[in-house]
Amino acid sequence: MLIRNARVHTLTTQGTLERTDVLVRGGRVVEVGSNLAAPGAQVTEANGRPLTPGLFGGISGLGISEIELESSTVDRAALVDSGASGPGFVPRPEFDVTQAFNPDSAAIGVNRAEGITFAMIAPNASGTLFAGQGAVARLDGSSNPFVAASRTQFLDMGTSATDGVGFSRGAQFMLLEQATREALPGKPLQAGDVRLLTPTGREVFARYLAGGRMAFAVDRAVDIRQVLEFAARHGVKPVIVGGAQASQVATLLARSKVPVVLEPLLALPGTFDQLGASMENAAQLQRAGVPVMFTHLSAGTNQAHKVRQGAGVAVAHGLPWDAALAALTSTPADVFGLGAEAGRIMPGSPADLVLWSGDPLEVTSVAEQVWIGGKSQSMRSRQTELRDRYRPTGLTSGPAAPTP
Amino acid sequence: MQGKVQVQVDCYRADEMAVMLDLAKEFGFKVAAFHHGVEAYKIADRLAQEGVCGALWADWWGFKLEAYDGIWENLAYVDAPKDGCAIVHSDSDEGIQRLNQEAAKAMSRGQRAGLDIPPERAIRWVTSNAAKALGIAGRVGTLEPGKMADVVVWNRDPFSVYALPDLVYIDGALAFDRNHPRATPRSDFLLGQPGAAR
Repeated sequence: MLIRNARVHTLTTQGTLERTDVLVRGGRVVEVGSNLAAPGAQVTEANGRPLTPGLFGGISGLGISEIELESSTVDRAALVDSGASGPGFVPRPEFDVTQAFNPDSAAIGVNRAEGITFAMIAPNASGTLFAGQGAVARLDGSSNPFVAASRTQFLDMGTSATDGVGFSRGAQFMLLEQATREALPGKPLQAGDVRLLTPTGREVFARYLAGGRMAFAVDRAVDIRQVLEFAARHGVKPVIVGGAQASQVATLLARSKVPVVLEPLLALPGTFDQLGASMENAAQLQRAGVPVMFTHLSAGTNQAHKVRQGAGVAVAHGLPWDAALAALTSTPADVFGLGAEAGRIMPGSPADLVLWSGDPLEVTSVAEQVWIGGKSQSMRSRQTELRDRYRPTGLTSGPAAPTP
Repeated sequence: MQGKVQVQVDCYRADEMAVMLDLAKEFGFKVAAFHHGVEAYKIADRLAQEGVCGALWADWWGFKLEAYDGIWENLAYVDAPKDGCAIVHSDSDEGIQRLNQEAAKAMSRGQRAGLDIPPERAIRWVTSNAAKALGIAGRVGTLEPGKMADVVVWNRDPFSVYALPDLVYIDGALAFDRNHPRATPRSDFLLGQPGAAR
């Protein structure tokens, strides 16, 4: 497949290339350059429109939460045993939300047509601290689209988990340390020890302690410090999710190379942990050298695509445009272990690509064609079906129908 | 019911809006606007005929069952018939900060669906149509002699994600100045809090 004459945002040292062709073979980009010839290849004329790598939909419930307030469609949390708290509560870090993933979810189709090609499918702790395991899915419609290297253990810290687990941040860290000591080799449990985790939980948690990745949902600066100390103590690779006050500890985060997945639209202190929340968070972190990614926390899973608008808003508030696009592409690819060429457009990159009608961060632009693994994805969704069924009479089709 | 106060109805589904319009007819009152109205586009012609506005989201959908049929074109479709009246809705502390962007998204999707929506029409979704539904169109919602001097000066085309308001006047008084933070209101709540100094 050949995409001809695009404005290619490579996300590499080559930057943005005008009037450039991208040749795809076997699901990967094989060449980026001018006047590429590919006899027999299917050709898409870009006419100078922007081409980017597919976008990262953030920390998401795509495929595990179809309608957030309709519990029969939601598989985000494992509240087994005695519920979320109280005696008998057993944390389940072994809970693996990827096993509940439904590639046929209408919410995936909607977001894919908006240019979202991958997302971190994450459990939601519902106040239990130990949320469980998630992983990055490429939204290609396959039933097991997960990238093995992206596996992440999710932990809810700070305000959000306090009610369910001990009513104190101190209790959260106490339980976290207890789970860690149980799981670590060399400290065998004795008969009669009070155990927090199941045998499987210990086994799974131990894997993350051995250099694995843990994502901590935490906003407050001092809690971020505590998390970093825990991570350093136990050799864990931390990722901060939320990080409303992260810019207050930007130097520390940069020094430890700890990435932050933030909500760029957050500008109000919804909780005391978010005092000082600012739309300049992303710009300040980026300036300090912290890897920044975006997620959309406030309106739920169905609008994962709103990360694109958030990225544009971050630019309006001081984040360089290239850094904003990196936050949606190459940075999450790097942080979650998708491979050195992923999230970029260069030879060897997975051909997860989006052709845009205009500036990819602009709210008036739309994705005109999405490819995953070089395969052209349907630009139709449940929403476009409804759009066309109820189109006002006298209009037969839009002026810019997507290429078939 | 006496028509002294505008009636605003929170309603998602088209069938429920239709029932409410029947009810209004039976009891002789008028609905000014349906709020949220995720399925308003399904009855856009009826809303326009009866002079009812839809205060709608640009892209919120699917967070509950009543919102499952949300589409990007809702505002544009409701606005399309003669006398159609669409308003950008927000009851979210996040969305209300960027109504211009919400309007821009809805305008763009409407245009791509084949509707002719110049920006000077789409701006009504966040100005005069809202004033109409609130019953205060005689005082606010347009820039013309006699109206209250509630004015925003933008640093660029407001239908852009990069646009920021430079100056906001209310009743002719400067209420916000982006380049002079001291002129910007600060809440009591944030005074003396860490990270709040700007």
